[in-house]
This record gives sequence, structure tokens and C-alpha cells, in this order.
Amino acid sequence: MSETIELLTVKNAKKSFRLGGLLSNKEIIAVNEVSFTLFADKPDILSIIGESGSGKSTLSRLILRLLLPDSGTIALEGKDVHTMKGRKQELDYMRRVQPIFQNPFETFNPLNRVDEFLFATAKNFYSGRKQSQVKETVEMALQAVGLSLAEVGERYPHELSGGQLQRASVARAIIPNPKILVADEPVSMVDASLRMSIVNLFQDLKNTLGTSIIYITHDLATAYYISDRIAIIHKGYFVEQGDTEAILTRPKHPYTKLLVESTLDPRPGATSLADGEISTGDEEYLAVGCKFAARCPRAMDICRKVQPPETIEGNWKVRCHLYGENNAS
Amino acid sequence: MSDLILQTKGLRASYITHLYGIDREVKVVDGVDLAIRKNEFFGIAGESGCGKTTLLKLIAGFCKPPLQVQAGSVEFLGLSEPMSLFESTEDELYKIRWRNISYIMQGSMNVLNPVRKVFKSFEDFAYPHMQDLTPAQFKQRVIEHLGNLRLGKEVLDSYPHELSGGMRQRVTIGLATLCSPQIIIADEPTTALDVVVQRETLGLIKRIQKELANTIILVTHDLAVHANVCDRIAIMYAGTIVEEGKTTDIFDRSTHPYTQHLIRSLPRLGDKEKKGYLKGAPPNLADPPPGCRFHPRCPLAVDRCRVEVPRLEPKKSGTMAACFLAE
Amino acid sequence: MINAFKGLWKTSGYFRFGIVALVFALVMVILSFFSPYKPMASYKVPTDLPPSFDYLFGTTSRGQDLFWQMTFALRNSLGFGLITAFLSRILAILVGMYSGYKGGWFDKFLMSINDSFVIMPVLPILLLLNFLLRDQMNWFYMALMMALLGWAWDARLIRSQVLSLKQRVFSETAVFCGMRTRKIIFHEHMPYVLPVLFSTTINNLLWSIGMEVTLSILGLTNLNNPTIGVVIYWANQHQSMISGSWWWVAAPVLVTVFVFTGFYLLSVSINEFIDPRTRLRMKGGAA
Repeated sequence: MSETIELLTVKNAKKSFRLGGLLSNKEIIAVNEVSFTLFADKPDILSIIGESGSGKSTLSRLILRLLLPDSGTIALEGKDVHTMKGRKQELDYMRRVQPIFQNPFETFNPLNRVDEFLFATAKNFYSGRKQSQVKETVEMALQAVGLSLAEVGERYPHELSGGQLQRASVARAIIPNPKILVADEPVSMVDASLRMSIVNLFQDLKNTLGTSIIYITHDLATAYYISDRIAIIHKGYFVEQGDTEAILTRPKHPYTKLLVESTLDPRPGATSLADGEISTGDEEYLAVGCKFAARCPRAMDICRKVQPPETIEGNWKVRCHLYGENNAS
Repeated sequence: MSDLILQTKGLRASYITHLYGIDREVKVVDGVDLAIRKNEFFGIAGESGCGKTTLLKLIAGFCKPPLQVQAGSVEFLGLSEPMSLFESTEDELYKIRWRNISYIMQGSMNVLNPVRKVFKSFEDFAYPHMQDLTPAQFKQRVIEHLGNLRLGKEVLDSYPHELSGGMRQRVTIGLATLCSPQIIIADEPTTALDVVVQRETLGLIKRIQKELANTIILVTHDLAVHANVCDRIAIMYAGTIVEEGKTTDIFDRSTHPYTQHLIRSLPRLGDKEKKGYLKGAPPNLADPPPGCRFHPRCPLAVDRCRVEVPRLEPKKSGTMAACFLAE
Repeated sequence: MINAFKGLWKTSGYFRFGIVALVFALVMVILSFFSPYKPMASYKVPTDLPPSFDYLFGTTSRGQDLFWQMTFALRNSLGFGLITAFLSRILAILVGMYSGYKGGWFDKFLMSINDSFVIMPVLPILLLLNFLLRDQMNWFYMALMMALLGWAWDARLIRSQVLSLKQRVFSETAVFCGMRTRKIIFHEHMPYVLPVLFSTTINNLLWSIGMEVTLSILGLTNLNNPTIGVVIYWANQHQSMISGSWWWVAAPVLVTVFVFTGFYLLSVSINEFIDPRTRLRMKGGAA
């Protein structure tokens, strides 16, 4: 299995923001030393699991090239994003990387028809096509997600359900035939009875179109359901990364363990509800050493002083002192 | 003495708007009968647009235009005499608000005034209902109460944005429980919270219910939450209750096709079995389908479903379901 | 569209009043093309006659039929105001929308120019310009000058709308559709900006006519071409209030008040209706 052609290479990407005004020197590093790779010939669904404030939104914007990293590299098919200048290169990037946003009702302009964006995408990414070909492209994309122009053509966003609209959003995203879809919480605003249709759709896209999907969410259950690989992001760092099945059934990092325990099992009384200590907020970002140390049930002295290095075992990566050279895992 | 604390009978309400000569009536609650008991954790589940938030508003006695009650009643049975909420005056409603019925709202960040310190919010919202205490006694009560919720004194002196999301939600819960009300209505209290904080907050709410032995009416679309905290659940669809029963019965032995589908499609850690989904979408309540509101999406629909509206009836499984085809 | 009109007519008293004023103004303007007298003619009719059936608004001390004078006055004033409003809209939209959307140095640069225009004291500048350029001044140049002085504030309003629109998710979707800036501004953002645009247009119209009246009363414009201000000027020159020909002042003032109030109320009533959020609410959505 040739995993050698790299599609998206993210290496030690770092992005920080300054808090407060001009004279403040508090800096929040939203994304810190994040590395992962997507391969061109092996489409993957990679889930990035994070809470709010973990840096997952910043990371998704970096991957979509809406932001540029302060240091480290992000490269698409070998080309560094910093070197892409000008409209043609921007279009090329968007041709290969497309977003799916959380709220389908915000994704589309409430005042314009839903197909406006679909037609615009088709026209802009396939220049020189006649109107009939453009229409055909749009129809094919809609069919691929289980909709049709007849169904959504003349409609406005509020006339469709959340599930239909999100599927239309996916249709728009696949028109340029992208290699990567970045879906940021794509089903959290969709009703439960329609949610699985979108999630199943992602799997179909991977299997039939060979699209890789970066599925950003806080919902471990759906992440388990569709993803091959998973990365847990906490306060900017990837604390654990690797095969989904392995990590979610035998988590190594204490934070991952906490997330798995806290995920509610939808069977009556299956999850024990602790009324424990209260989690804290932004101070964790500014803490020295491991950012999770304050909440970690297995924190050691070194955790509060030194940022844990990444331990690599095959394709399983953990960032925790418990698994460093000092301790055998 | 009945063991019920709140009862609705045949409740029907609509949002009626007249804008530039165009009239719209959205039948958001269309025939709801609920009997909620004392010392019970009652859940109302449903997707967006099913009417659960409006139902909550009606139960709390908030009914302002464009929301209009068309029929039915809501009776609060916690006082010595049954009290019909829609027939009570503003003063009577004011007396029971906060002391007998309190509300935990969606998005606690919006409840607390961002430019007032937390204690001031307590003074603003809760003190008017506790005039029998002196200010000093009131402050002491608040400190004790927050301590019970594992919040320190310093929280009172902070502004809302200085607290984390979980702490703010605890403050909101503190506000709602200060007077030990008989009914606490919680509208999506953990939806905006992280998974870890959600678990802690649900644990807290469960503990409060046990300590106060009161009734909590919890509304959320998240069935996993209902599974782990509620004693009984009502499933709402398009303005009506389609099934109701004990939590274990609903999850293991439900009879309404909608409920069955919902439960089957819930993703679970460790479960890779392919999940199905329902075709179609919840109906537009301004123009609902005739007969059973679920029939356009129901895999078992027969002719009768298209014409007649099924009523909630007890079924062999132990739940009450509104379906002609369920036993 | 017709339904909207009917709906507005039924529900809004403001709208009814505004439509009446609009119809009145239009009728006057149309009538001006059928006037039996030339605009600058004088001493054609007996002087200083009070309003009667023969002379609806009376006559002036210069022997002009005040009614027909007013038709010219309304036509010229409104025409002037419309040109100003139109020109300044173009500037306001271009600067406001592009500056708001592009941000960065482009925005900073344009906004510093904008600020200079905002703080300029309009009346003294107009007085000065009219005084200096008396002979070359005609109505079109004056409209141009007013447009240049009247765009800045509205540009800022539009810019702030665009700033908030830029943050909305669909603006990002538009980028990923490959849409160019121009398309995004005019197809995606413009519908939201329309209400602001509409109300500022009416404001601008009324403001520029007001300025014109001010300048004319002071005698600084071409006084042979009747506009509302010019009529009042001549009325003052002939001391009509003292001499008893009160209708010479009353007519322009009352007509102006009526038309201005009507236009304003029209704008207020249509504004809520044009607002895309209202239109969405009527169909059951939310913006």
C-alpha cells in the first residue's frame, strides 16, 4: 500500500493570537506543534476531537488557508501555503480543499436562493463551460448527496430542513471535485433523525469519490462511527493521535480517557454521572508544562514544569510524560 | 392528595402573525396532555421545530403575543388549591415564579447580566421573591447555596465573563434552585457545554433533584442525556406527544415508529453497526399534514394514518403511544 | 409587489400619507411642463392677489402666478436633490462597501479621507464656493459639489453593515465558491445594505434640498430659475410678510413641509418593509 504521495502535510504548525490590546503581552498559542499527514492514494476520514477553546477551529482555518501559520509548514501536494500568491493559486487550493460549516442556515445567504452558490461554484471552477454543462455539473453533485435540482432548485434556505440544507452544502463543496473536505461540526446543528444521513454521506464520499475528510467534532460517538484515524486536540496540542478503534477503546492519554468516560452512552443509566470538580477555563492556555496537568488524575511533578514530548509507537502518537522514555507504556 | 405536580389538558397554542396583510398561523402545540408527578425527573425530547420550547414556555405560564393559547389548560398543583396558569393574574403568577416554579434557560451566558457582578444578578432576580429575609440573611443564604454547588464565595464578586462556561451554568442553576422550588424547568441546560462539563453538570442536576425531592422537567433533543438522567420521557413530534413512558421502557420497548427509529439511529462508542435515517423532514407547522403528523415519513403508514389523528393510549409495552399500529 | 403595496397601504398610516405627498409632488412636476407661463417670466398677471379659484396660490409682487411658480420650483428642487442623492450614493456605496470588505490598509486609507470629508463644515464651504464661483455656477455643478460633501457619513454607515456581514459564514462560503470580490459585494451583501441605502437616499435628498433652500434664501444661487429657495428669496426681497402677501412665503414653506414630511414617512414605512429580515419573517424564515 503506497502511502508515499503526500496530499496534505502539516508539520509543527503553530498559530498564536495576542490577547488584550496593543500593550498586552499575553499570548495564546491556539495551535501548537501540530503535525499530521493525509495521503493522496489512501483517502482517510480523520477526526479531530476537541472541546471549545481547544484550537480546533483555528486549525480548521489553517487547513482551509483562511489563516497562515506563524511557524511550521502546511503544504498541499508538496507546495507550501505561504508560497501561494495570486488568484489562480488561491483557486487551485480551493479546488482541492473545500469546507463544510457547522450551521447550514448560515452557510447559505438567507436572502438568496440555495442554488446560487451551487451554480457559482460550478462556473468558477470549470471556466469556459456552457450554461447547460454548468447545470449538469450542479445536478450531478446534488444527486450524489441524495438531492436534486427539482427539489432544491428554486428554494430559499429557510424552506429546507437542516438536513437537506447541510446536504446541499456538501453538494456545493464537492462540485470542484476536491481531495479534502474540512467539515467543522457538520452535524451538531442537524436534527437527530437526519444526522446519520449526513454522517453516512461522508463515508460514501470517501468510498466512491476517494475524498479525504477532516471531521472536526466534539462528539466521540459519530467520530468512532466513521473515522479511520483520530486526533485529540487539547489547548493547541495534539495529545493523542492514531487509529480510531485503538485509541477510543484503549485510550492512553488521561485527557482522552476523560473524554471517553464523559461521553454519554445512549442506553438508560449506562453512564455514571459524577458531580466532581469543576473544569477551569483559559488559564490552562497560559500554564507552564502540560496544559492538562491541573485536571489530570495522574499528574506528576514533571508535568507541571515541562511540556511533554511526543512518544511515537508506529502510527500511535501520545504527548504525555507517562509514556515518555522514563516509563514503559 | 394527588401525586401530580403539573397537568396540561388538551393544550393547543399557535404563533399568529399578521405582517403586511399576510396572515400566518403556526400550530406549534397541537393537543398536549401531560401529567407530571412530584419527585420525578421528567424529560421532553424532540427535534428542532417540534414545539418543545414553546410547550415549556406555556408550562411556565409565559404566553405573550404572537403566541396565543387556542385551547386547553395548564394546572399547577403545588399549592393548596389547583392553580390554572392561564386564568391567573400577573400578580398570582409572580408569586409562584421562582419560589414554586423556576427556569434554567438555554445559553446561561445570556441569562447573567454581563455588566453586573454575579451577586447583583442574584439580588436582581431572586431577592424580590425572598423579601422575608434581611439583605444580610439573603447574602448568607446565597453563599451557603453556592457552596453546596461547589462554587466558592469569590464567584459572587466576579463578572460572568470571568467564569468558565461550566461555572456560569452552575450559577444559573444556583439562581434557579435558591428558593427550593417544587418544579424546575430546564431548557437544553447542557447543550452548549463541553462533554466533560456536561457530565458534571448533569450529575449536579441529578443530585439536586434527589436532595430537594422536587420535579425537574428537562427539555433537550439529546436522547443520550434523557437516557442517563430522566425517570420518565415524553417524545414530541410536530407539536404533539407521540410516546411517553418510563425511560427503560422507551429505550428498550418503544412502540411508536418515530421513537423506534430515533433510538435505533443513536450512535454509540464501540458500535460500528450501520445506522439508518428517516427520509423527509419534520413538517412545516404552518401547514401540517392531515391525520397523523408522522405519516409522510413513517415506513408503516396505512390509509387510516393519513386521515385520522391517533391519540396517546397505553400500550402493552408499558408506554403510552399515539399510533394505530402499535399494540 | 402589488400585494406588498396593498398590504402597506392597509396597515401603515405613514405609507398612506407618504404616497399622497409623492403623488402630489409628481402631479406638480408633470404640470410644470404644461405651465402657461415661462419660469422666468414676470409681470404677466396682476400682482399681490390672495389665493382664489383663478390663482390657486395667489400671485406675487412680481406678477407671477404662484401656483405655476411652485410647479417649477418643485421640479427644479426635486431634480437637483435627486441628482445629488444619486451621485453621492454611488460614492457612498463604492467607498463604503469596498473599504469595509477589503479592510487593512485600503480601508484605513479610504477612511481617513472619509473622516476629512465628514468633519468638513458644509454650509460655510458651500457659501464660499458659491460666492467665489458665482458666474460659473450652475445647478449641475452645485449638485456635484453637494454630492461630494454628502457621501461621507453614509459611506461609514454602509461600511459598518459590510463589516458585520463579512463575519457571517456565508461570506466565507462565497469565497470558497470562487466568487470574486465584486460579485460578493453586489450579490451577497447588497441585499442587506439596501434598507440603509434607501433611507440614506431619502435623507440625502431632503438634506440637499434643504441646503439649496438655505443658499437660495441667502441669494447665492441663480435667482432667475425658480426653486423653492428662490421663491422664498424673492418673497423676502419684496418683504411679502410685511406687505401682506403672506401667501408668497406660505406656499413654498407649506409645500416643502408637506412634501418633506411625506417623503420621510414614506421612507420610514417602506424601510421596514424593504428590510430583508422582514421579508423573510413573512415567509417564515429568519435572517
